[in-house]
Amino acid sequence: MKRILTTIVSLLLSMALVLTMTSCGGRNKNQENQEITWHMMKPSDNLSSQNLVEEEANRIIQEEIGAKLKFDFIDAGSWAEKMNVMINSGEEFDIFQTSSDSAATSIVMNAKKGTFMDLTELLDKYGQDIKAKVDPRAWDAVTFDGKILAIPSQAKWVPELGYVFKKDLVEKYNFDYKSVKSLKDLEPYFDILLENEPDIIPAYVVGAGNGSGLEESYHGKYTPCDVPGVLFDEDKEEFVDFLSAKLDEYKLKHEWYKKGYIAADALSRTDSAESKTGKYAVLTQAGAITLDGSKSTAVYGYPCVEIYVGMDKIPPQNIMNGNAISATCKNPEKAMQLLNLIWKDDYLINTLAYGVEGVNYAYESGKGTDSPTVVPKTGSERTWAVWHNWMGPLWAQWNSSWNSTEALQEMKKANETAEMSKTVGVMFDMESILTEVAALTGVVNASSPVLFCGAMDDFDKYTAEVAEKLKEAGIEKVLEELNRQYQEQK
Amino acid sequence: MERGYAIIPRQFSLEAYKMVLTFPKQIIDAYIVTAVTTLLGTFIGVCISAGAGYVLSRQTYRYKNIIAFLVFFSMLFNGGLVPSYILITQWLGLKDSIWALILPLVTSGWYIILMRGFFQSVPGAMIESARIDGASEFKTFFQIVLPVSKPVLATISLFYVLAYWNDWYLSLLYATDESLYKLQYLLMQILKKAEFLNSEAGKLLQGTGVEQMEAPTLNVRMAVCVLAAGPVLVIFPFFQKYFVKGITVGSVKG
Repeated sequence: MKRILTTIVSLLLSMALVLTMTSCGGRNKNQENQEITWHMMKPSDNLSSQNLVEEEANRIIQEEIGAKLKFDFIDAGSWAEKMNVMINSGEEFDIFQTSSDSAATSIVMNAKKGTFMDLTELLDKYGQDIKAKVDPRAWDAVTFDGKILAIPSQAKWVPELGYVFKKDLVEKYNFDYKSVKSLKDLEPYFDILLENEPDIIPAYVVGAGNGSGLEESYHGKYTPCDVPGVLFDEDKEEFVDFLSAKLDEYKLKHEWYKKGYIAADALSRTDSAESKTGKYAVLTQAGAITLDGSKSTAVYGYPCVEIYVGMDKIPPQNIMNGNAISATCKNPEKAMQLLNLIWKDDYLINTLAYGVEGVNYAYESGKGTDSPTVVPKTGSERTWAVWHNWMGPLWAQWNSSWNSTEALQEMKKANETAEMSKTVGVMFDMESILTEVAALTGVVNASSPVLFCGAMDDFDKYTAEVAEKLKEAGIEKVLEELNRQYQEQK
Repeated sequence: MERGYAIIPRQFSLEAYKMVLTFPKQIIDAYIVTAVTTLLGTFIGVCISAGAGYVLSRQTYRYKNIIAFLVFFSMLFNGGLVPSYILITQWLGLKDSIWALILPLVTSGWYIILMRGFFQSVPGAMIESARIDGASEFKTFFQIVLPVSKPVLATISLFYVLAYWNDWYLSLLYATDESLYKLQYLLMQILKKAEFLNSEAGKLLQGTGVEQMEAPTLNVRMAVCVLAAGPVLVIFPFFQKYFVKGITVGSVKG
């Protein structure tokens, strides 16, 4: 008996010891180092080169500003929950990623909560290089109550739409794909395919996400809004619901579905690899549009040709991705200096993007110059990835298979020439419509894949039902509130 | 897909397992962490719950009513997420420590009450006669009461094993170090990643090279599922007889 007793007592004692030891260790570390943490969504599973990359980056950072950078990656699935508790418990952290996709860290949802540090003065003091490189129109989107809350990323903002054609088929049937302007123009081609190619599904329209694949371009008439199911009509300057705005497109899709242009089980095709099966004749662009078809050929894995269909106005949420400094940051000056250094030093941003030479990439040409060409490791050899497109100017990226320098310059030009949506700079306060937004999210998530694929039995009946559900969810109140806030702030 | 789903698979393949196990380090790490937290957590948890339950079951303990009330109270009201997070990370400094994956689940009012219920059914005469024979309190507990309480110990152990094995939330909150991820968390990550890559957000990844990343296919997800669930499927039948007994004993007489 004594033995058992001694065991238990010693176990408890050792437990207490371990506990005190860990707690001491944790505290000392934070105080001694000028370490700046950077919380970021985890972009890829295998980041085993993290220490090497941080070491290489810190060599520069230490020398220039006397601080150290430490990435803290949180996987996308846990991001919202983890950041929420960290923010609400007032935990100390420094730089973090903000994007309109995650409500937990989005500017819109946090502007009033005081989660973000006001960067206005810090930027004037330490952020000259950032100010020089950010499109001046973008600051509007991240300013709330006169305070700049985040640094908007300089990546691709313009939502473009392109159609991708499987090359062997357009050649075989000699289809003049270059004259296609809208969905309707595809129909003659689909009829030919339906007749002659039993193994091919003409249109890539599937239920992945909220429906993905071929869609109509509205050429900037509608801009998506943070609230699901709501679009901004740029001509009439008012918010409208997605169903009435896109009714014609959905009707066309339903006809396609009945005719067999769209797979009968399109709704259940939700695997992202579906577009790579080669079973579809016409798809949409794979990331970026390349008129020679190189991007889609590389991504989809079979020869393709592409056309450019249309461009929308830049919606605010595409600009509101970037990085911010937490209000609980103990060292905001150093954090801002670090951010500025990343914007200033092309070698640093490219090190963060590509990793360490020899381990994560190799030089193809131009080593030591400002604009070398590099070959990043891919597939299972790839051991480093980061959201560098949101960390600094994407245009500083070195030439590689990710993007050629010309493609980057083109994106930059597109950003500069494209029109901003009229909603940029209007900071909507969602507080009073949160319940309605949640209800709308449910309705939209349930109905939009069905509408997108046209996969319903009776179109009129289904759309009437969806309209009814939208009404029940409170779409009218949401539209009214958004329109009111827009009129007040525009 | 043209032929629809079939009850008997048309073709047998281990391809997905091969893919999951190409980089087995993460899964092995997760297995070790899950096993360690489960064993350690169950042991410490049972010790604490049994000790507390026994003391509360003794008629001779003066403060038993007030303590029992406090234990019961914690079942109805608790601090909630943010205070526990502050406690663990800022007061105890346990972030990125294995104890953060063990201590939050180490006991609960429900287990203590269940234990107390069982111990109350141990005849008072037994305890008294042990005392007359000269046994100390500890000897009575370890050598008289515990041996007759195997069913409830087994039941509570199983509860603990299941709770620790299936827990992913603590990893989510307190582990930033990947080597501290638990198996279930790994599984959840894989599922969520597929969701994320298929979502609108995935479309914004232009020009990062990240878009070349593949979302895990359904096969891979299922394979990880089997790997994560495996051991519990094996353990459960062994415990089942105690499980049923323990529950009825604990509740009816409690």
